[in-house]
Amino acid sequence: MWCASLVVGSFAKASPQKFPDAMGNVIRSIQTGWVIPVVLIATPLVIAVRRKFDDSHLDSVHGLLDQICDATFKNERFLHEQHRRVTLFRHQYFFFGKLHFWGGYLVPVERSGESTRKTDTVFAAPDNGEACQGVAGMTWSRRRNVSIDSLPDLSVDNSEAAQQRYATMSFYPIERIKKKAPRPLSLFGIPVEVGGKKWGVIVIDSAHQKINARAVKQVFDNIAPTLSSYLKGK
Amino acid sequence: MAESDWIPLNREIIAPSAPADGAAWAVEMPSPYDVPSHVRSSYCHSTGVVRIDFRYIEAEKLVLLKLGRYGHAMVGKSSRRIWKIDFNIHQFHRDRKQMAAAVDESIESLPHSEAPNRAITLNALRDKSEALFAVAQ
Repeated sequence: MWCASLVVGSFAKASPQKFPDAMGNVIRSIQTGWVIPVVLIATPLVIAVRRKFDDSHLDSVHGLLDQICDATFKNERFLHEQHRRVTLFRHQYFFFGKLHFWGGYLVPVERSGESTRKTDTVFAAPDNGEACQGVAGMTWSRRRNVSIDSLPDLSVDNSEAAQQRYATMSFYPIERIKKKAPRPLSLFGIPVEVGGKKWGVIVIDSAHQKINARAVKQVFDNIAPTLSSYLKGK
Repeated sequence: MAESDWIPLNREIIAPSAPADGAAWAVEMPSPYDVPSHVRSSYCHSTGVVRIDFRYIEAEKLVLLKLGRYGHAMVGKSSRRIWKIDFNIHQFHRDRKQMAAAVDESIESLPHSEAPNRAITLNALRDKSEALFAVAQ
């Protein structure tokens, strides 16, 4: 787009007679046709759209989430990497996936580690705090850190009572639990702000019964300014 | 102008964890953005104004608010967090107890007094009042 803009700008005032016939015709068509207005309108639009949807900043954010994960679960052993994760959710008023449309949603944008990074778990987070789902929704609604330990282990007991208890304790929708039993036994939500305004939340989940809150707070205090600077304007 | 060093604040004292309302199994802690990490004070002998500054993890735009009868405060434009308090202490004859009581009253008089940051800054001032008001002695 920059090249097209440069070429059009260079030829906008050039005299076609000074160039060979073929080139002169191109310059004439640029000067008389729609090329100049189209390029003038399209260039800033394309730049703005690319800037808005550019997700290169997420590579840096991924490193920060890994840092939170390492500091939180230092000296803890897990069978699989997905048994301890840190996920960054962004709040959006509109979401076009899976029949959701508007009302406020927390959409995952990045996750720590190398495996199970792709997730389509979206939580409702509308203005009405009572309708917020999951620890992500509660953290968003209350604008506070929320920590939940010792959730029922549904891999051991997947009875309806256990599912109901899991749903109540984790604020996770029961219909999703019935479809696929969630693995985390402890959860920790942290609100994320940029420039003093709510931006999204970070959710830490673990297959162990408890998450070290002190370690989370310590590492988050260190990385929060850097995180905000990468999320600014996104 | 007398100025104290930045005094580190203990999060567990000024912003303790508590069970969530209506969900006793969940533990809530104030947002890390609401909890100042450090506080300091300075005193201008010519004007008699004590300034108290709080340091948070992220900078933001500030607005000026009138602070009860005694001075004014700079608060975050969106978050309403207290960043600075300018406080005229001439009338208190350097009595720390009176100064601390006046700070309490002033912060409680600010709009959005229910914001979690209000209680946290009050706790911080109560916890460190001796060191903060020592600059005015």
